[in-house]
Amino acid sequence: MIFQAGDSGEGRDFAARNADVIFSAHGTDFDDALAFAEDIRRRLRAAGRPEDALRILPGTEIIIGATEKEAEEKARWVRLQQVTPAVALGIASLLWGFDLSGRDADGPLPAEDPVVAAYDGKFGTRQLGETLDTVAEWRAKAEANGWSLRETVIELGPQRGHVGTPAGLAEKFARFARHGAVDGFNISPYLVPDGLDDIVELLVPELQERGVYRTAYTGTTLREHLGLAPVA
Amino acid sequence: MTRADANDVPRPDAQLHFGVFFQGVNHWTIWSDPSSGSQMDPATFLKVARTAERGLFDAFFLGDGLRLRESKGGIHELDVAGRPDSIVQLSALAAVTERIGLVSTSNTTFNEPGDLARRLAGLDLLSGGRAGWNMVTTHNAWTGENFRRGGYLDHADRYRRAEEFLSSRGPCGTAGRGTRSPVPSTPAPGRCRARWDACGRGPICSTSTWRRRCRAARRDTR
Repeated sequence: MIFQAGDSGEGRDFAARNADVIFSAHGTDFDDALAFAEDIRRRLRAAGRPEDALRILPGTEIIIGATEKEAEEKARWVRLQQVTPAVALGIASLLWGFDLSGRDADGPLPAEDPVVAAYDGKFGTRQLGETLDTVAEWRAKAEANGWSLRETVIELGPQRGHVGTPAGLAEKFARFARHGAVDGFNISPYLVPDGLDDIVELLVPELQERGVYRTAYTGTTLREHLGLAPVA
Repeated sequence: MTRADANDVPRPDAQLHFGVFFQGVNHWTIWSDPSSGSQMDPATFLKVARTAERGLFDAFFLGDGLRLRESKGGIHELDVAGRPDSIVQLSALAAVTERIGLVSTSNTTFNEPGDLARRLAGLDLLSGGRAGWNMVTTHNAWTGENFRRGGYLDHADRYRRAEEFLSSRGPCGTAGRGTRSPVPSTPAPGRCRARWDACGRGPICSTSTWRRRCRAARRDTR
């Protein structure tokens, strides 16, 4: 069973030709997930494979609370734990293109303009225009809301995941699945080893009740779990 | 939305598949909370895998990297050092889980196909058909510094090489059941070496290229 996670055009084509599962970053926003899934199905057809030959499982975080308010509070706690001052400065350094580690994460955004260094073989490439646009957006929103650098990274930095009640999330995920936006999710627990407990104990039963999640394993192999055709 | 009123959607009978992604270096796994477990202790992996299996997940998906991340000349403080290799880790989990799929992150740029195929096929056999392979195609020179061969591949070449991993056949491998990766029967070192030498650009070529170049190599050495 081949899993693949490339997101470039080449990576998507590679997955369309070869993979059994694609692990994407397009699983938070419904329209974005659906657009990604439709693009992958187009590439599958172009590669001469049936549309159901590949499972689309975006990576995601799932944060569950008994009420929406509790879930939001938990998400806020998770983000504060994840985006420590050092992490905030690290993320900002990548965006600005130079080392910001000596700065105060609880202070304002750096006054300097970002620079985009030549590719050094370590990190992905960014276009300067794209970086300038992002920094301009961060500055505008930080100023409007009175956010520190750390708060700005929490609000506008790399985002992922779903936050809600078990029933609310089950409704949302059923919609994603029934519209073909995803075939499921590859879930990153924000805590190990206990971070899956709420998902298994609270979310899975809600999904089962809606008929969108198995109530028992029906096969023994990974291929059978994924519902993919047997190897000829 | 209940099943009854779901008929106006494209896939009324859709089923969700869950995997758990146990990550390597990242800042998303909280380490500062008292309930945070060791990122190396086998008990942590086992608890996550068993919880996922209780939740009828399809797969336990293990992230991996081939070089410790660095920051300003030091080791990145959120990296995890000392974890077992992912196929070793998953082989241990295979013995203590029953159904859940076990997906290893293994690199196409820095592994050799015959060797990796044998290890993945071993995991597949030990687990009763539950192995998966997350193909990663690192292209950066920074990771390459950890390997004797060094260097890195251009963006396009890393996928060419990855594809050749999948399409390679011949004396070093035969297709295995349940996986489309090449599974070696008995690797024949001499012939694999010929394949490496004949191909020039790297140890792996597509089947047709390999045949052509090996024919040429044999002609040249006669």
